[in-house]
Amino acid sequence: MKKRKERKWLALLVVVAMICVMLAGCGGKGNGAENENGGTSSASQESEEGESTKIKADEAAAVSEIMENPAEKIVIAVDDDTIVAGPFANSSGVRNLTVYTLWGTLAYRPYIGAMLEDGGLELVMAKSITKEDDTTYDVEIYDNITDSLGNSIKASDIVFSLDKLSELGYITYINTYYESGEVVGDYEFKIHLKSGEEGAIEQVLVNGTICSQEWYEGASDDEIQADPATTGPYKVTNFQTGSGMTLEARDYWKTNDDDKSVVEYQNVKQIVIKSITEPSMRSVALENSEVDLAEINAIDLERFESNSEYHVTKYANAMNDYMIFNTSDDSVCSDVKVRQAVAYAFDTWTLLLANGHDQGELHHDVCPNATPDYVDDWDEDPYYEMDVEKAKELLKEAGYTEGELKIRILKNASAPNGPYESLQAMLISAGIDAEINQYDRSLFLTYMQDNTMWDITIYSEQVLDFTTTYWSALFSEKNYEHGTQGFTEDAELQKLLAAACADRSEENMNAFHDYYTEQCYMIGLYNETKSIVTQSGIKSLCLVRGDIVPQATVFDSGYASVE
Amino acid sequence: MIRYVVKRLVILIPTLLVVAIIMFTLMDFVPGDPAVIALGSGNHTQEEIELKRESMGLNKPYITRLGEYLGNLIFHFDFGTSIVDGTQIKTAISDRFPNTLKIALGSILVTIIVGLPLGVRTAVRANTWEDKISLFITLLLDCMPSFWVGLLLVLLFALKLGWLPSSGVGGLKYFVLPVIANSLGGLAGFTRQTRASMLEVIRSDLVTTARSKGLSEREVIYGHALPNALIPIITIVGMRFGQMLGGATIIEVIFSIPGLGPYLVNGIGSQDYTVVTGGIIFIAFSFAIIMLLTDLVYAFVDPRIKAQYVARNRKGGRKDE
Amino acid sequence: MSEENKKKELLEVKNLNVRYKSGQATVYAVNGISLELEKGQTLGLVGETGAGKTTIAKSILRILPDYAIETLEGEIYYEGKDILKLSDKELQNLRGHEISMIFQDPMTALNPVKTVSSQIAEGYRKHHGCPRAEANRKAVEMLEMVGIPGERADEYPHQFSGGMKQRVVIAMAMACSPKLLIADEPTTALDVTIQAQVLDLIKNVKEEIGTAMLLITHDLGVVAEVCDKVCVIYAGRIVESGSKEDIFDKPSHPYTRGLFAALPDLDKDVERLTPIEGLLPDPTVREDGCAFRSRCPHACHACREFDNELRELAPGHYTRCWRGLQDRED
Repeated sequence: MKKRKERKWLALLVVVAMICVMLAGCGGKGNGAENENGGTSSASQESEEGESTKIKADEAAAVSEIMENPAEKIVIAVDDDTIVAGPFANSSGVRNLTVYTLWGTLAYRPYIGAMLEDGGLELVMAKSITKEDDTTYDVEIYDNITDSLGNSIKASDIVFSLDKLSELGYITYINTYYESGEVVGDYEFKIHLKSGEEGAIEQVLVNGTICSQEWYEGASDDEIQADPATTGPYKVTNFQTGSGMTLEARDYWKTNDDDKSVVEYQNVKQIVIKSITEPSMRSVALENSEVDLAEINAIDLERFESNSEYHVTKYANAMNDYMIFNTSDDSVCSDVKVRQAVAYAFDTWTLLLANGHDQGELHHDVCPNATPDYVDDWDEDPYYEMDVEKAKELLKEAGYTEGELKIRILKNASAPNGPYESLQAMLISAGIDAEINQYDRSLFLTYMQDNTMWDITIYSEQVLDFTTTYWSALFSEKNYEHGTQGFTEDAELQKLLAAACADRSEENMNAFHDYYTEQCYMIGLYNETKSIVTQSGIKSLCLVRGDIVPQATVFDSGYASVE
Repeated sequence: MIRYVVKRLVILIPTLLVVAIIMFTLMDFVPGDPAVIALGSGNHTQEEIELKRESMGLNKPYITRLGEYLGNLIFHFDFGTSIVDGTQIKTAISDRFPNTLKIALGSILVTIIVGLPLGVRTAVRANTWEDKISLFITLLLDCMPSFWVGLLLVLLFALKLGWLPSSGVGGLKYFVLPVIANSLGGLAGFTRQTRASMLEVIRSDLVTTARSKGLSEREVIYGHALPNALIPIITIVGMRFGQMLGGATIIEVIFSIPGLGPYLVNGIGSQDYTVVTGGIIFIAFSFAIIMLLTDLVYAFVDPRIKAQYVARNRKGGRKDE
Repeated sequence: MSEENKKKELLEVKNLNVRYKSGQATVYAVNGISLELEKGQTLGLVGETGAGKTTIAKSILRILPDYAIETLEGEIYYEGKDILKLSDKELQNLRGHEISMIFQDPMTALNPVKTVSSQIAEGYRKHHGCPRAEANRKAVEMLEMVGIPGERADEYPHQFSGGMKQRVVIAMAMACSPKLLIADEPTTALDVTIQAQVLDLIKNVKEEIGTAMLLITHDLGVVAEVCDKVCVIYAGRIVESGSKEDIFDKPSHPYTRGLFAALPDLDKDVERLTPIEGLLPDPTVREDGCAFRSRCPHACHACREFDNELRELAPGHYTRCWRGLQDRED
């Protein structure tokens, strides 16, 4: 009898405990966003505008020096596990790191916006490039190019590679601009472009990876992906799917150091690449002396910054965030006052902080100030700085009472929650009822093309060469079924864009910038400052906006790799 | 007995076919366009998308595509190519599976080596302090999330002590921490099941008979009780092993082991239809093989079951006076 | 009983008390049992189910379930040594070698995953330390002795019927030629025709090897066939004991008489059998006085104060009833 009573009490206790735990879990959620906003706001008081690092185009250049005695080895941790070594592949973390190390291209772009005309390009395989007309270029390549198996590379191989790349479709820019190649001699050929747009030839010269046709057609799929006959300064000596690879300097065909581009340096004999996708594990690997170089999150940065055994290199993230408004009739954002109200309701710096970063660059245009045609004055102009009163006023003018307006924010599930929750909180305090709709990546991309599914969203784009290129990617009706990325059908917008693309005069640039900013079609947000941490024996890194050229790293004399 | 094995293998084929058809059809229904995914991020014109659809053969009728897929699968063991990066799925699976297999095998071995003696001991000493402490510890380990345990192990053994590497693959030492982290979760369940099974058998008549013959306790427990308690234990081992072959994803991500887990999960995340379909079919296949092996182990352990397998071919069993 | 006989005695149980724990209550299974057995003799323990017979048997070999036992008191002398005080090692030497046991249910007594010959050979090898081959040969020999062809030595228990399984159990028990065999209801689980066979087998094997036997049964017919002496057990106590003739010809305790009266008799023409009225008393309760009084047709209030001592009616014939009904025969 006693046992039964005991059991009853025990059962009751368990039920009570379970209910308590359940309620405790529920209670936390609702307050999360507000607390976060409040918390991060106070942090931003300390790290205010002074932290905003501006890295301009000329600073973000790939510079290095050739070392007499190359270092033995460098071990690099990457955050991506798609390890590919083949000649033709998609862009990815590992790929951007190794594409020029393994594969030769016709030329290399050492900074954003480097142009052929100004001699900004560094020639790699090409000996000389002459413009015949807007869509035709003559190229002469070196006559002694060989790949790691000894095959010699001729003009026919170049044309084959460009055609192949175009066919496979991995690099969009090749497809966009490359029409065909015409072999003229053993080491001469012509490139025919689809359009004479500025930047077109550069894309082809810089992105077209070259391999030997004979080798490619005779090799098995495995060999192509894992043990290729490389045309760059390194070859693959060890390949592990999903885990990493080792690159070793080979007998490179170009012997005259003066002719070499930075991507052709061989400052280290062995480059070991390890894939470690978990950011905290990369920090551990660095601390544990398992790697020499790794990209570290802002959260983990502290213990490396104060430590003399490590060296921190900061750079501006290549991806730039911007906000898009759905201006189609299906959305509340078709009203410009609504758009402006939203724009005034939030503070961009807070969004950056909510993402866990404490350093970055605030933008005054969808495009960052990293391009040659960017007009510096824009940085001085007011740019929808947070003004809640104004936001509320605009809201009233648009005919909404407080809390009446409902806005749907489209979010990608793999994007961090911080900025979105922060945005939502700020909008709500301005009287706009904002709701976050989250979808997995592929569904997100699908819905981005559906104008009934969202009112605002945040997206990002990479800057390649010109502001106008950036603008075209977002606004040009040639790319979209319904006008722009935000479904904006505005003939005036297109006219101004075309004018700016044709002639990048300050007048035209201002015209377009002012127009779309006033219409508040899209707002530039920020790009955060990222950090690469290396062991102290590495003197300097060679990088352009986060894309490292490992073979051009400069090492201290006392450097020794961790392995 | 051979006939039994062959029969089971033959039944495997329609099972896998059904899995393949279901997966293929499901992926067809998932919203999103494979052509858009294959083209990658960035903006694409309708024209580009149409061209890609053509080249991927997406405009062909469902039956044709299904037939082609099944044909490739059965005759060439070809799972197709990933629509995101064009690599051979067959190659990726065969490169990655051995790593997952190593972790799975290691974990099962650790579970058995630690759990079996512990389970037997706590059954023999049921309700003593030893039993209660072991229950407490195994439950505690069971409740800890595997990734947390993994990180703790790394902090201790890699960072603080420096005995083992924190991530990657290579020799045996790279697999020590992942295997330990992976096995701790199932240890409690396995030990408790062993204990429960043993308790039942220990109180049975056959153990009394064995004791009455004058055998030592050890001979009674390990020679008579344990072999009879094995059936449910083997079931658990088989199921866990089959599960782990699907990839101990969390462990593989933390320790950067290139196994099936992250491959499949990334495939799902990027809606790489072919990878997901191929991966799941492969996992179904390996799971079925493991189940067959488990059933065979039963026959090895218990002659009554073996008799069942053999007798199925003839009418009526063998029983005489 | 007397000093001279002590040398002849193989087994002497003195005042055995066994109590089990069941939940919060205690079960008084065996209360002050004493009995003796000489070499080569067969003693029958008769009683209803639940009377405590199996507990006595298991106590001798000390194979009671440890976790359930609350008390185990008394003395059990085998060849002069107290079994209850032996070490584990000494016990293991005894079991299967000097004292063997046959169990009631042959279906569950054998290990299903081992061959029958290996189960027989195992005990043999353990106690004689001989090589496997010799033990296997002995196993086959034993199987033949119990009537199972040697070709079937490598088969598994599930391939045999109930009767044959029991034969295997017998073979296992007799393999080391034990001096004492405890048979706990060996034929209860078998059909009547097989019963006779197995009983004969036990008798023959016993005679061949010269084993003493403690036969536990509820079947008086079996007792008549095989036993020399009989002890009648009720509620954990011996209520009457004596030679087979004593018990069968002159039953004195009302319980014993009730047992005999309940047997179906072909000569009598009755419509209903005559069972003993009532049920066994609650084993968790220990009362003073005679335990049988609630069911005894002759009970009176003097029985309540009965001291539960055995009374000798004739040499070797004891009863635990103060009336001593021997002279009031019908």
